This record gives sequence, structure tokens and C-alpha cells, in this order.
Amino acid sequence: MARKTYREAINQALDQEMARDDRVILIGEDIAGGTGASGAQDAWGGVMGVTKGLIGKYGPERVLDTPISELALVGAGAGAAATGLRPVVELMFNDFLGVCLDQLMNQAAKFRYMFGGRVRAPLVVRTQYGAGLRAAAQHSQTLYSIFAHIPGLKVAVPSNPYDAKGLLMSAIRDDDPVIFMEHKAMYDDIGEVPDEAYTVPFGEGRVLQEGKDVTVIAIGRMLQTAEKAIQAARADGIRCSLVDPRTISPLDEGLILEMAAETGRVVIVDEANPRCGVAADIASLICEQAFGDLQAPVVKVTAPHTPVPFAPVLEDAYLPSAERIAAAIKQVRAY
Amino acid sequence: MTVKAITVPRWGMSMSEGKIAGWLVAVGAEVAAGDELVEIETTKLTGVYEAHEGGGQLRRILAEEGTVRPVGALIGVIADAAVPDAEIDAFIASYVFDEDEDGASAGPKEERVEVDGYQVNVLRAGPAESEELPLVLVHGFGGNADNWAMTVAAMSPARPVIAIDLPGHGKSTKLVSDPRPETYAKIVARVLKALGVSRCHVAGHSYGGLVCAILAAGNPDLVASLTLVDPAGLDAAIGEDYVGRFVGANDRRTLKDVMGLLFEDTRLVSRSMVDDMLNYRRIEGVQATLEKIAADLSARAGTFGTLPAGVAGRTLVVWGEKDKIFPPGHMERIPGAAEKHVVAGVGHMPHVESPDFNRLLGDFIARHA
Repeated sequence: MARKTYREAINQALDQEMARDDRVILIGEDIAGGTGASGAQDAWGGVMGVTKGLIGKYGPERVLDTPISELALVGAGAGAAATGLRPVVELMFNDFLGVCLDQLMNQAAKFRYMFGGRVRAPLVVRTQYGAGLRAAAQHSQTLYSIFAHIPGLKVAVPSNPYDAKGLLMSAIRDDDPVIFMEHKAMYDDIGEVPDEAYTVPFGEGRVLQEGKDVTVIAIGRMLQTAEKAIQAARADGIRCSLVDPRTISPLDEGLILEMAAETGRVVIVDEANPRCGVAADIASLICEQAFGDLQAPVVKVTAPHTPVPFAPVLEDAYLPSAERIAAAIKQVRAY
Repeated sequence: MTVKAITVPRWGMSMSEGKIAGWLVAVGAEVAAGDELVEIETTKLTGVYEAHEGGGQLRRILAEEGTVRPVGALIGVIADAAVPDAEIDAFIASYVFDEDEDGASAGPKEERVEVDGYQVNVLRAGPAESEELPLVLVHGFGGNADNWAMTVAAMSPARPVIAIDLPGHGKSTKLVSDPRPETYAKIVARVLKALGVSRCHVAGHSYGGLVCAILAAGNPDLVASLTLVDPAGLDAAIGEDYVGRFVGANDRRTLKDVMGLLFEDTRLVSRSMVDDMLNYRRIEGVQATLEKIAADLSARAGTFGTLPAGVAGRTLVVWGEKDKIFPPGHMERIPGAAEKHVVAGVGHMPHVESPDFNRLLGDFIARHA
């Protein structure tokens, strides 16, 4: 076992799947780069350097550097998937979803259903989400709820390097379209990641901590913030469980209900805007199916219903903080 | 009037030490069974240690908040209020948990040895130079070297200890072309040769016991003593269809139930233990190797009932009284073993469930130096 960054874990998953299956190709803007690329290209490898070195290993026929047209590159991915390849498309920021939504929502997500199961679309769309890097309102959103709303798309939100590699390998081997959400502030996070290939299945959440007082359910990067809040709550004698759903579609409803029932007090933490989001979805699941176990109303801690502010102090205030989460934990404990 | 030890518990296969996060009761407080005593943090989780049956008064706290102590270390003492302080002091002084003299526990070090094209991971602990023969530990089917954490901690102050990850397991190469006990016995012999070990004590658990028995029979000069812990291979029948169910389990719930068969106290099967096992099972090559081992096991009837007399006379057999996989009655099929012991109240994993195992092993190998 070696320690790797989130970025290296994703790069290794792509590398090992490309080595294992020559139907796996990469499509995206500026994704060619690193050793083996020519001239100025050598410095690239994606805007965050995630695909660095893969063009040198697998060549320009499998690492397709495209012009700036999300409509074209996501559409090409959907078509390639329907006709026998297993493309991994990089949509640089999830905020650009608007210019390629039809290719995902009406095409890739519908192929299998509308062609009576005779066509599969093993497409992976890797994309960055999240605030905190001063990238302003058009490059900082957290939009996975929109994808999770669409039947036919699966959505993975890895919260650490281990899950990033294992979930991406599962995504590439999956015969259906998968949206793979990478938080842009997590690429340098380090964790234990086996060198060998391995998978993390979809629809299986994980319990990171166990505590008898409050159940905290957090998504993606919010696991880290929730851990800080849980640490702070411990000083007040409150012990929390922490649950990472890992994929939000499919969702590990069994684990969420089990953990909600254990404490009867639930806080859900999500970086996305609150209306019609995953946090609201999980809250409704618990209220509908675990109501009898609840000791307090479910509390959501999310961003406000506003665009992501560009002003640094406002952006910091926009993100759910450990203080807000700790206050929510105390609130449900005291109810 | 009994004096009871509070020790750092083991909440996961990979747990080797715990940090005292905070005591929940003060010295002098009366505690009853089930009362929460102390919070202990591991790299994976924070748990609460509860008082066992009987209860009494918390008489001593031996590890303050914030200190890190190895699994098995004494951190507190419970006794009736009537027990004199001198008796408590004597209990603490005589408590058998060895660690380095400076109080620091030098954790096991990992090393890779290449044998027959496989990278074999070994955990090494204890003194580099020692007059004492090394102790070699071989885990069971689906296990790994970490299963021996408590034995490594208990034995390594006195002698070098080498715990091996059999290929297909732990951190060794996962895909094995021909995973049979005979193959593994050869691999272990070659690993020991590569490490410069010419004579050693060998202990194997379950499938690893079968491997060690074959190793000892084929290399009588290498093996000073042989310890078999609930060993496989004595009878073709495997209780509860454990192997088949283990290989077939690929989700948390099913696997938790199957792993529960290993222990008498099924609370030992924590969420993090199940998660670790699931993570291991999902590494490429593992499933294929485990399926091959399972097929080989089901194809052979109990095979190693005939330890050579010379080896049997140096063999210790330890069995968990409540083993649901192989019942202790299998012991009858190892005639001539020097010693046989049944550990009361534990299941298939006496080396994980009971400190008595380390005492039996330590005494036995001391007599067979």
C-alpha cells in the first residue's frame, strides 16, 4: 500500500483500465500532456494535471485532445460508448453541463431504455465541482444533484483517494453512463491507495466513525469538514457516527436508514445549494422510512440558495463550515 | 475477590495500538457490567470500552488521556473496594505484557521478499540479533499477517517474530496460479531461506496450520516446534460451509454474518473489520485465488493426520472450545502431539479472542528451544 494523492489515484485508475482494456479511451480539453507529449503540450495533462503522462503511454489515438466544444466532446463520447468503446470524457468543470446536457440527459441516459436494452452506453464523464478556489460563480458550483435527478445516469462522489481510484475503476467497467464528480480542492489530498487494481462498488456507503448520539451524513469534500465538526462536538461529550454514501445514484438507502435508526438524530451535510438537492433527498428518505426511529427533526447543513460568491470572505461564508455543522449536531442532540 | 485488567482492546484486524481519548469514569467510581469506561481512538474509529461482567471499583488509571498504547497493554485496573492497594500493585507489577524497556513499542516492520515470482510481504518484529529462535506465524484462509497482531506484540520482546502474508493475501501478490497448501509450504520455506532463517518455531492458524504441518513434515530440521491453532485439513467437512459462504459473500451484511462464524464474541466483527475485508476482497486477483483455494480444499479429504513422529513430539495443538468451523474434536486426529489445549469460551480465532493463547504458545516454545 502506498500513499497517493487524489490526483494520482485517479490517474492510476485511468492508466490501469487503459492497460487492461484497449476499448478505454480519453476525450477532453487539454488532456494530452506529460511525458511523451510534444512541445508545449508536455506541461498539460488536463487543467489539473490529472491525465498527465497517459498520451505518452497510449498515444493520440486513445487520448483525444479536443477543441473547446463540450457539446461535441460529450456527444462524441456518448456515440463512441454506444458503438463499442468505453470512453472517459473530461468535462473540465461541471458548470459547463448546460452546453452538453442533451447529450447526457436525452442521449446517453436514454439509449439503453429506448433501444430495448440492445444498446449500452458505457460512458464515464469525469468532472470537477466545488467552491473554495476563488474561481467565481461559473466555475465553483456543486451540481451533482442535477445528474442524480436523471434516471439512467449513475453518480459517484468520491471523498478520498482510496474511493476515487476504486469508484473510477467501477465506473469504467460499468455498462451504463456514470458521472464521476471530483472536488477541485481535493486533488492534493493524500491517502492510502493500493497499487493494485481494485473496485469500490456503486450503492455501497461507508461508515467512517461510529458514535451513539448523532448520525452525520456528508457528501464528497464535506466529509472532511464534518470530521472537524465531530471532533469539536466530542469536546462537549457528543459522539457522532459519520456516513459517506460514496455514490448518490444509486444511493445506499439501507445503510442510511440503519445509521439514522441507530441514533435517531441526523445531520446531513452537502456543499450543494439546498433546494431539490441530495441532502433534501436523503432527509425525505429518512423521514418517510425511519420516522419512528427519529428523536429529533433531521437537520441539513448546506450552502445557501445563492450563486457562489467571488468575494473571498463571502465564498468562505457560503461553504458549510465545521462551526455550522457542530452547531447542528448540538441542536439535534439537545432537541 | 478478583482484580480485573482493563487493556487496549482490539477492534479491527489492523488495529495495533489505541489512543486514550478520555476516561469516562474517575478512579474510585463503582462500575457495573456494560458501563462505559474509556474512549479509545484508532486510526479508523473512536470506540468506547465497556466494563465486563462483575464490575467493581475503578482502582487505577495507568494511561492518561492522549497517550498511545499497544493492543493488550494494561491501561486500568478494576477490583472490589475491599481489595488492598498492595494487591493491586502486585497485580500491576506481575501483569504480563512485554514491551521494549524504554516503553516505546517498536512496531513491526514490513519487508518484501521475492519468491517464485511472488512478492511476499512479511512483518518483522523483535530484536534483530537474538539468541532465541525466531517465531514464524502463518495466517489462515482469507486472513493476513495482521491477524497475529496480539501474538506479535506479546512475543516480539523475547525473540524475533516473522508474520507472513501468504500470496493471495494481505500485501503479497494477489494472483496465485496454483494455491495449494503444498505450494504455500514451499513458498514459506523459500521465504525463510531468503531471510536467513535456518531454524525456527512455526505457528499456523486454520489453513495456515495445514501449510505449517506440511512445512514441518518436509523440513524437520527447520522446525524446532510446531504450533497448530484450530488447523484445517484434518477432516474434509468444514463447518457451516464457511469457505463457500466466505468466497460467495461480497456485500457488507453477508460478509459480516460469515465473519461472525469465526468468533464466539461476534461483537469483535466491527464495521471497520468488515470494511477492511471487503476492500481486500475487491483487489484484483484475490477472488480468483480464494476460489482456487476453496476448490482445492473441497476436493481433498482430511489429509495431514500423519505428522512424522519426530515432529508430532514437538507439536502444540490449541483449539477454541466453541470453534464453529472445525470442532475441537478434530484434535483426536493428531496422535502423538506433545501438548493439546482447548481454550475455553472462544471460537475459531483463539489468538485474536484470548490472551491465554499467547501464554500457551510462549510456554511451549520456551520448552522447545
